[in-house]
Amino acid sequence: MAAAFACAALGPMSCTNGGGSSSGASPGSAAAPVAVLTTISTFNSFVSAVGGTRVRVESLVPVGVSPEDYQPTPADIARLHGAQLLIENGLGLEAWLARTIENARNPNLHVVVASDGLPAKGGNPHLWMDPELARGYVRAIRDALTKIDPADRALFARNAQAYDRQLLGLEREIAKRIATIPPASRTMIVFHNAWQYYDDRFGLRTLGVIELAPGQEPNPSYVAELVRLARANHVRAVFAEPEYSPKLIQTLAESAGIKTIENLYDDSIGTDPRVHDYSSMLRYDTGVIAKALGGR
Amino acid sequence: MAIAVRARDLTVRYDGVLALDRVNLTLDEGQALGIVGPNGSGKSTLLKAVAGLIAPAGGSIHVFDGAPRSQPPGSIAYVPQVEAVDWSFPANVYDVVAMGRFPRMRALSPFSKHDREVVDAALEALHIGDLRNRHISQLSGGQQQRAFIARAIAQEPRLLLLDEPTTGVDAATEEALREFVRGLVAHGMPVLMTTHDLERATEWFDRLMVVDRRVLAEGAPATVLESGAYAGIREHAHTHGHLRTDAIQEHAEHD
Amino acid sequence: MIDALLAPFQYEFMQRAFVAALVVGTLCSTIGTYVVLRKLSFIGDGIAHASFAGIVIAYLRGMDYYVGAAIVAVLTALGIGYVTRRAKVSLDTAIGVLFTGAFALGVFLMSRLPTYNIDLQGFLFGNILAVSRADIVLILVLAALVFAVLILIYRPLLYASFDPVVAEASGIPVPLIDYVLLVLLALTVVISLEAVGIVLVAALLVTPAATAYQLTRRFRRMLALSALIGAICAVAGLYASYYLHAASGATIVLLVTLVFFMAMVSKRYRVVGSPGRTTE
Repeated sequence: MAAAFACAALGPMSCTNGGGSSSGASPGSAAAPVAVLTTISTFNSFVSAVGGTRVRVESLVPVGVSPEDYQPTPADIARLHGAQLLIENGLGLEAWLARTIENARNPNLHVVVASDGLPAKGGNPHLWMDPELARGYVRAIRDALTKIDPADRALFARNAQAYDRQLLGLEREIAKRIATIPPASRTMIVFHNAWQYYDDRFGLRTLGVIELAPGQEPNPSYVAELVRLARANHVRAVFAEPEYSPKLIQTLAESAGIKTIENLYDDSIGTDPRVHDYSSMLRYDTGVIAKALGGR
Repeated sequence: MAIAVRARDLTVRYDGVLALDRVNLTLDEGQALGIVGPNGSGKSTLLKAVAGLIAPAGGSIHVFDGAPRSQPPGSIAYVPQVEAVDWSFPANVYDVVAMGRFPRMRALSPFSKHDREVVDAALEALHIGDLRNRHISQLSGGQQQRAFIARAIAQEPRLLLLDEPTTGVDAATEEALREFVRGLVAHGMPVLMTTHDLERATEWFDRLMVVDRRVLAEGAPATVLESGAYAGIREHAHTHGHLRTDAIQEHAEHD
Repeated sequence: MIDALLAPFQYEFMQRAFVAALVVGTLCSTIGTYVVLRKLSFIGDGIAHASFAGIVIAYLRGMDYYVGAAIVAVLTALGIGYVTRRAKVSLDTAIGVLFTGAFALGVFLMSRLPTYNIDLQGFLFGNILAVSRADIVLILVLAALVFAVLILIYRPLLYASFDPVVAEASGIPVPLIDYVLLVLLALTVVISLEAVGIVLVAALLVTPAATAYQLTRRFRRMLALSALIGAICAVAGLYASYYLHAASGATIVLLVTLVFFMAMVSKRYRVVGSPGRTTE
C-alpha cells in the first residue's frame, strides 16, 4: 500500500501498474495475484470465489457503510491507482465513482460494470440481490479476470462454474423458505429499495420504501401513505437496515400497528460472522424475512 | 441613627488604573452626603463600590454593617449617570418604574395594590405621571433621568445612590428633585450623591466631600466650600458640563 | 372535505409530530424573546452546532444522543457565558471559532467510524416524523421544566435583561440569572433538535420573537405574541408540509419567515437596538 501511495503522490507516469504486479505474466511463473477492487463488500465474495488465490480483493466502501451516501477518501484514490481491475455495479449505485476513477489516473485500470447486459428494472441497481442475476455478475467477473490474467483462464472457468452451482443451490434454498410464508403475508416494507429483484424472483412484494432517494427525508403525507398501505395490506413486518437510524421505521411501525422490526443486509455484508459473505448474507436475510412474515 | 455606609481606606482599581486611593467615608441614616470632584476623580467608581458592583482592591466598604452584596434584595438603589440600556427595549415608563418593585417581590406573587400605589407615588413624586404610557425611547434626557430615579424610589430602598442626577435637567426639575431628596432624608433615608454643581450644596447636602482619587476635604458644605480644597479643581468642574446658564453667570460674578 | 382536512391527524406518528411541533414552537419562540432582546441569536445557533459533537460522542460511547447533546450544549452555553462575562464584551469571533470547531469535531469523529447509523440528515434538518413515544415524553418533561423556571425567574430575568447594572445593584443575582438563561437556552435547543434540526433551530428561536418585536412595544405582549406565533406557525407549518409533500422542519421555518415579512411590511421596520418611530 505504501507503494501505491507513493505512486499516487508522484503521478501516474512515475509508476507502472503499482503494487508490483504486472498484467500478462509469463505463463507458469509465480506472478503476483491480480489486484482487484470492488465497490461494495458483497462483490468480494464473487471475486474471491472465481479468483481464489490468484486474486487479491478489497472493497472501496467499507463493511457496514451504504454505497449510496459514501464519501470517497484519498486512500480510495490511492487504492484505485494501484489496482488492475475494478468491479462496480453501475446503474447509479456509485454516483461518486466516476470522479474518483478520474482522479486516480490509472490507465491500466480495467473497469467492469457488473450489471451490464442484465435485465434491469426501472433503474434500480440492486440486481445482485437476486441469485439468478448474481450468476451474471460472476460470469462478468470471470471474463474480466481471464482478460487480465489469461494464463489462469482454466482456473477461473472451473471456479466460476463451481460457484455458479452454489448460487443455483442457494436459489433453490431461498425459494423453498419463502414458499413457507403464507401467500397473504408476502409483503415487505423496507428502508430503501434494495429488494425489488429478490422479491420478483421469489414471489414477495415490496409494498413500500421509506427512503426513496438516498438521504431524502420522507415528507409527512408520504409516511402517512405508507402507514395506510401497511394497514390495508396487513403487513406483518417492517425491515430496517443496520447502516441507517431505525427511528423513522419505529415510528412508522408504531403508527401502523406493526410489531416486528428486523434488520436486513443488502448493500453491504456485515461484521457479524453470520453475514460475512454473499451466500451467508442472503441466507440470513431469507431466514429473517421468512420468520418475520410468518413462514419457517 | 445607624451608620448606613462606611468606607475604610477604600482602594479601587478600574481597568488597571487606581481610581480610588484609601478613601474614608461615613454616611449615617437620615443624612445626605454630596461628593464632588472633576471628571475622572473616581466619584462614579465610589458609588459603584458602595453599590457592590466593583470589588475593592484594598480597604473595605460596608453598607449597614455588612458587605454591599450581602444586603437583602432591594436595600440599595443605584441610579447611574448614564444609563446603558437598550432604548428600544419594549417598555414604557410605568414598566420601568415598576421594575423597581421587583427585587423585593417573591417569585410568582402578583403585583399587589401596595406595589401599584408605590409605583404611582414614585411617578407623581418625579412629575412623570402623565408619561406613564410613553415608550422610553420617546422621552427627553431629563425625563429618562426622572424615570430612573422614580424606579429607585419605587424600590423603597434603605440606601439611595445617585450619580449626577441633576445633569441635564432644568431648574424647576432640579428644585423639585432637591425637595424630594430632602424629604426622603428627613424620613431617615441615607443618600449618597455625586454632583458637578455646587450652587446649592448647602441646601442639598448635610455633608460634602471633595474627591479626586483621594478625599481632599470633608465636612459641612459651607465649610468645605470655603476651604481651598475645591478651589483648585473648581475650574475643572465648570468647564466640564454644568448646563445651567444662570449658574455660570453667578460664578462669573464671584470671580 | 372535512375528512381531507383531518386526514393528517388520524396517524399516530402525525399526532406525536403535532404535539412536538406545538411544544417546540411555543418553547423556542418564548425563550426566543430573550434571545432577541439580549442579542443571543448567534449563541443560540452556536449551541445548536456544538451539540452535534455531543451527539456523535454519545454515539461513540453508547449513550443516549440527547444526553450527549444536552451535556455539550449546556457546557458550551456556560462556557460562553463565562467568557463573555469575563471579557465584558461579546466575543463574536471566539464564539464562532469554538462552535464551528465543535461541529467539525462531530463530523470528523463520525467520518472516521467504519460504520455508523446516526441519521445525520435528521439531526441537521430535523426528523419530526420520527418522534417516538419516549421522545414525546422527554420533550414534554423538559419543556415543562424550562417553562417552569422561566416563570419562576420572570421578574429578575426581565430586570436583568433591561438593565443589568442597576438590577445587580438592587440585589438581583444577575450573573446567576444569565447563566440560568443560557442553560435553559441549551436545553431548548436540545429539545428542538429532533423537530427542526441543528441548522433550522436558530430560525425558530429568533424569527417569531423578531416578528413580535415589530408588532408591540410592551414586553409581556411581545412574549405572548412570540409564543403564539411560534406555536401557530409550527403546527400550521407541519400541517402544510403534509399537503405540500415537503420536509416539515423547512416548511415551518419558511412559514415563520413569511409571517415576519408580513409583519415588517405592515409596520415600519424596526431594528432591535435603535429607537423606533411608530407609536402604539
